[in-house]
Amino acid sequence: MNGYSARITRKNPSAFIFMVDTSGSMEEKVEFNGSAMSKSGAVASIINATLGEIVARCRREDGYRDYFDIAVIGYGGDDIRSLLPGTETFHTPARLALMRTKTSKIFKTRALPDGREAVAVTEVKEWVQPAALGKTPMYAAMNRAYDLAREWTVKHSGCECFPPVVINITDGEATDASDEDMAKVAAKIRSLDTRDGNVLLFNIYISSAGRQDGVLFPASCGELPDTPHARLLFDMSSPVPEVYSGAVGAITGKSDTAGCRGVSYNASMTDIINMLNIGTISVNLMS
Amino acid sequence: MVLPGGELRLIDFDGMFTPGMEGFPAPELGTPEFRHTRRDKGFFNEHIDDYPLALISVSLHALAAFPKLHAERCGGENLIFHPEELIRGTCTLVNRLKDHWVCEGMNDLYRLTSLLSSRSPAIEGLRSIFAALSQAPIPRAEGELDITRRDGFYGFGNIIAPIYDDAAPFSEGLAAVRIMKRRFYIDTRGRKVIDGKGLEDTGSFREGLAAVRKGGKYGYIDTVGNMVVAPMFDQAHAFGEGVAAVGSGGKYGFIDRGGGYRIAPRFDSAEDFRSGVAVVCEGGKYGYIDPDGNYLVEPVFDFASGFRGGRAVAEKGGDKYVLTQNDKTIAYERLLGKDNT
Repeated sequence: MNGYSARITRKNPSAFIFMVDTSGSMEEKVEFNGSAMSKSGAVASIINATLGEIVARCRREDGYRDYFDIAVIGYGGDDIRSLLPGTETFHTPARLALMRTKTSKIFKTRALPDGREAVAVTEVKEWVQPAALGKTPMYAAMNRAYDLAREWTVKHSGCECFPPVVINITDGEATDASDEDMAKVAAKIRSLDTRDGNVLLFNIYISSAGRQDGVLFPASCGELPDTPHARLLFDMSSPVPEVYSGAVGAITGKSDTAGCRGVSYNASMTDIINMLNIGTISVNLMS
Repeated sequence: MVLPGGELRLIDFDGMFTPGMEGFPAPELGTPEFRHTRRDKGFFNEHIDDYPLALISVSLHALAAFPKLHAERCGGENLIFHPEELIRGTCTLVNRLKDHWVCEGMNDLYRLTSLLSSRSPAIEGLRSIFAALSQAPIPRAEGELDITRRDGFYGFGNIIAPIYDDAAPFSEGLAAVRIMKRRFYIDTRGRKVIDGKGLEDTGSFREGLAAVRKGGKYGYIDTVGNMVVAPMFDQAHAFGEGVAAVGSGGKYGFIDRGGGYRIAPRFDSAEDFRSGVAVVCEGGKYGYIDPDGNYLVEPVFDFASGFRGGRAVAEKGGDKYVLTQNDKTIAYERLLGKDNT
């Protein structure tokens, strides 16, 4: 038993903490779903789709089950704030499902065998609104994530809970701390634990527009550009536990995923989606 | 009505509704002491008796539990309630009763009593509550008492009806629940065992103690509700292996069941003891201690995981280490990974 094997139940829930860079650089335009939009808009829509998926997976005949506590923290300018409505930072799937939010329609067209086009429309909730302003207080945001994860693990101390997963999405470097301090706060987050495992920290570094050389789940720093920033993100991120290895192997083509870190460098919007799908793979552990 | 023998019998339909009467105004409105205040001529359907049924049922249950109420509350026309007080929210008796049902774990009766303040004379779900009330509660094992949620309220399994605004899982036979601002612990029959009056947070019981917050600080209560460790900590873990990690003024230490420090607070952070080992951080570096606070592995790592299955991982200067626990000693070696060769 090496941990990360707890069944997620209402008695032993888990948690997701998403950290979203909302600094000024997130205004940059990228191509997403076939149209140009800001990074912040694309990331907000990816986060919303991920929340929608988690909520849907928690739905049972008798309603939504509280399998997860979910937080989304934005950081930009001088501001660290919850990007979800309401006074509490953590929300349960049931609360998210009942929340009144803006909605958007997603149109997906596909070609039918006879050449005609079929259009499928789905309506999705927009819990998170895009924002992009000012500096990148990632250190303060990491400390906030630490406090949240700490509060959660203390509350569930002694429980056999799959540990919280913290996923940070950024396109920059912290403007409020040194690399050394960033490494320290990341270690602090990862040192928190439940009986089932240590808290997992994933970092996704978004590329500038147009780059196609994203690296996902590298097993060593050698797979990343030779920069202090790449090295820092690698060191800050958790090695992915066994339970993720199938999915990590499928996306990276690696047969041996031991030592692969939960980090993506120069990620495209598609890479972010893949990272989040894998980062939230614990939804498969629900009973 | 014509009887089988051909005999004609007159029936008094006053105060009665049958499907054929739909669309007609109500011929009478019932006795004021039993009817909903909003029942008028326009309200004439299969729900006309909902409110009186609920009111009479709660009254009889209350009188069975407290016979003296009859002398105190019966004015001749009513039983023990006045609908206008109930619906206006000025009836104090109803709150005392609700309190009593909650304490006794009579959650279905609590739900029924809550309905007496209904704004509408039609009461949805009345049938299911009466059905639940007619079944005697069966005490169950904790395993069958998973948290359930219905209509926004929490309950446990099919046994303890959902009336709580918040509920934590059962542990050691007790569960922390909350109704509005009132926190308390219930047993597996839903009866209130510990009143959490004045508590701002209520943790789960482990090894007979639960962390609770009072006046902004955490202490611990025992299973009868006595505050056995005074509230003085900023953070309080559950007990495990006889000790609990607590934080105060930014430093963490471990207390024993008496509340005294087993290991004085000197750590930047501390995780729980498992198999006699705990991860701590001191001076920004991570190491492992035994229950006496002695280092089994000095704090030299930039990061260290907890032990699971006798193994842990740690990192130092970008290198990865694997640690193995053998009884009371810990050995570690640098992992020659792809990055270290």
